[in-house]
Amino acid sequence: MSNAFAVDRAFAVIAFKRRLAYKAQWLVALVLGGGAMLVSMAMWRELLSGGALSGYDWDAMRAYVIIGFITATMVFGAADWHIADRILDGHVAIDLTKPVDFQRARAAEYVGSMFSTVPTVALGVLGAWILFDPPGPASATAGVLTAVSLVLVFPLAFGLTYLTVLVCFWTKRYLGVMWLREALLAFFSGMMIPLAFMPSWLQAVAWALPFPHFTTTPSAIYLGHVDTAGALGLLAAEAAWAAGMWFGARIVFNHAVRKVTVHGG
Amino acid sequence: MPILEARNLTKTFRRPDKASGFKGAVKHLVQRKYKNYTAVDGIDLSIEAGESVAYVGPNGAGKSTTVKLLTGILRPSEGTVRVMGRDPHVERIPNAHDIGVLFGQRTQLWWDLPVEESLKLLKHMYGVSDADYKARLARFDDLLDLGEFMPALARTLSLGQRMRADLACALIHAPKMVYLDEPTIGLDISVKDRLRAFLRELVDDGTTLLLTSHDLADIEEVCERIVVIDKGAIAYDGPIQQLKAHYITTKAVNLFLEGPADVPALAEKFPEYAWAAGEAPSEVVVTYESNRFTTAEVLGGLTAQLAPRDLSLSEPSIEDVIRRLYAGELTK
Amino acid sequence: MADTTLRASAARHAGGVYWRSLVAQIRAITEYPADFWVMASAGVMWNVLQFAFLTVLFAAVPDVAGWRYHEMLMLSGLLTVAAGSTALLCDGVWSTGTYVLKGEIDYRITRPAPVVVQVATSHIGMQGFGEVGFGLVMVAYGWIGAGMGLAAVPVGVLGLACAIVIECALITALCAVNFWLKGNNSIFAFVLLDLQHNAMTMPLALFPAAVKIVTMFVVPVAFVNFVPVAVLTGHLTSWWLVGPPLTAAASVLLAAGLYRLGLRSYDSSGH
Repeated sequence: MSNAFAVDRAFAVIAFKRRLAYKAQWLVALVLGGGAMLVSMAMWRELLSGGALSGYDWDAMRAYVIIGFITATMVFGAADWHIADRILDGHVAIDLTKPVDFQRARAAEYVGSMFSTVPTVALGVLGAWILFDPPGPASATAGVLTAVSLVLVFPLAFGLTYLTVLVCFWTKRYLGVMWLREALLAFFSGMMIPLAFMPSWLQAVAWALPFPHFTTTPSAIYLGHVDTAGALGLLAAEAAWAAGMWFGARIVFNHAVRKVTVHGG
Repeated sequence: MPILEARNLTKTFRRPDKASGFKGAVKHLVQRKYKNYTAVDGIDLSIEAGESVAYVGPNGAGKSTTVKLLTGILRPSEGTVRVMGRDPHVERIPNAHDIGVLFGQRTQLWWDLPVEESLKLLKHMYGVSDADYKARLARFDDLLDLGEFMPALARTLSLGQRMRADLACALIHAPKMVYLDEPTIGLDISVKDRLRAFLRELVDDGTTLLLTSHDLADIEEVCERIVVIDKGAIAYDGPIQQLKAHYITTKAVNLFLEGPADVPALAEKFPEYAWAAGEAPSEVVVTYESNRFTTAEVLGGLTAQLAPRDLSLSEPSIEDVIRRLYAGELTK
Repeated sequence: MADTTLRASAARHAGGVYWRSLVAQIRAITEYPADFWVMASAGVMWNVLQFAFLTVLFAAVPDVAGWRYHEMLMLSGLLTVAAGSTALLCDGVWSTGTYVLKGEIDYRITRPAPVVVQVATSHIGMQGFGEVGFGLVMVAYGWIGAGMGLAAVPVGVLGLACAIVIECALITALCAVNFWLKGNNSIFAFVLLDLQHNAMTMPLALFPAAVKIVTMFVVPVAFVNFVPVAVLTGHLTSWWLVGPPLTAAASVLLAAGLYRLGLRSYDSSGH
């Protein structure tokens, strides 16, 4: 068992360390993520001073904003650039000659780099806890299931990122693709505003996409907006998206690689 | 008045002196220690209009730093530079109109634009008239064959094409003073020959040229004067012919004999020359002092007595002289 | 007198070089059609979603700290236009750090045009087309929705012009920091833009007084979008209108000065 994952662990550890080496990165992530969290808190405190809106009162919203900060930091802080660079500069042709599975190796690296956001997340959450004193989870079970949904964010984030990075087989640069993904993620996950505020057709659109699982799923479980059965259903959907994107990416990649071979790398 | 004059030109770089790792970085923040490194150390250089000067030295001798000081890219730590009477760093823009610069290691072409567009942008930047632009382009095309890749994007050019295009960029405003830093680096022989012919023509037209190169053939074919720099200071400054005459005191002939050459026997028979084995068994290299013997007299004697199948004369090479200069064998 | 004519002709020349380089970059876009569409739609997407966010929010609340829907749209829209303009007008300054590290300022110093002009036009951010386009739509929609007429247009144009100048100058100044802090990434400019998109799309009244002081007098981003929109919508008195032009002038001086100082300490790379 441990042998089967030795290579993956090595990739993850290297990516983690490489990421940790950029100390400025931590600070920047904290300033940006913390800044966004403070702005959100300021807005909702003002708006919710008169009572609850769309099922969120000021107590619930504090927990919601903090959960949004956690997932945003994990997703936006991971290293997606160098996968894109490998495709854009043609390194992918060399990678394919190595005796490791390309997708699995990139997944290990990506997860490793997500772990490097832990210090930022911890520091941000600690600060938010002191400043805003959010309520605890609706129940102990809800707390555990929230943690599970956050763990599932790792494969989910990789699947989504990797699929969009593969677009680089058709473009010259990655920046625009990344921005598109981040914009859609920020909106449809509920990071900008909870999905409950949206008209029902827009909520339906959101739930047809993988994005809500980045913020709405963990916070709904945490706040007890769904019961245990509902929570398990959400987790199943989240896991299904992670698995679906993993296999979907394989199909896209095989298709894209044929393009590389045709063009001679 | 010389077109370029540098007096006591000195450039000292300040490098942070810190231990590696996190501890070293923290310590550096507190103590702020620096090491000074003098790349160019008190150079005096004066170039008259129309001269073609080779600026030569081993890696790290300070060649590029000198060029950057002369072109105003760097500010001297000490000393002065005057190009046509101006300080190139202070009067940057007026100076820019009179100079042309090429760094062989880098391109000044706009990477994503066709070569033509880069040249047009430079035309407007330098305020070149339409008539002059056309005439100069036609001439560059004649000598450098630009036409074939004018519509190509810069990033798709081969190195040789890129260098020719860069040369056109450096000269599109007909600068009076031209600096070329390694203009033939990485090029194949045919492109090099073409570039050298072009540079000779440029010099014949009266352009002042300062050329640095590792390829001594560039220097011999294009320049009349040579300045050798080592460890930031000038080791030699004078005409190339004089350098050769002074320091090339021996010449050599390669003889190809009918049978295998017996070097010790030959050395005994003709002790006035130095003998060495050649690459082939039948080949010998005869070295003689050029101030004692003329080539005719050496060849006359040897061909009469040894009847070689063939022979070849080695051209005296500046390369050996400079190699010995670098090694510190020769002094000024 | 001769000095002034000389200066005027130098400025005209710099302007000419600037526009020609920029136009050449725009023409180069046709080389990458896929990237143009991806970038431009990324620029539009962020703003479509910002629009959607405000629309969703205001379906639930009547105002945020006294600011109504159409006013908030103008606030977001004006910032988007300003930020998008930097991508169109001076995207190259983001590469200052890379150019310094690689010694690519060298050639630009040997050419007869201001170095900052040459660096600024060395690239164009294609997302800017989407941002400026959609940002203007947001401003116009908010403008009409807020019931403002044609009489306020001159003030709007002044605010818009100042917003673009201030934003370009501040980004340039923060990118110039990389002359000293060696690195490829213009972290300060990046942080500024991100914080602006988060905080400056909200009424300043939401935040503690310190935020107001910093955004008005330390890093004067409030004059990009907040002050002009607040004056137009009556949240601030019209006296505040002197702020944007003054800030624009100060920011330009700061950016030009920092760039000039940076070039003095530029030590190229390799020897």
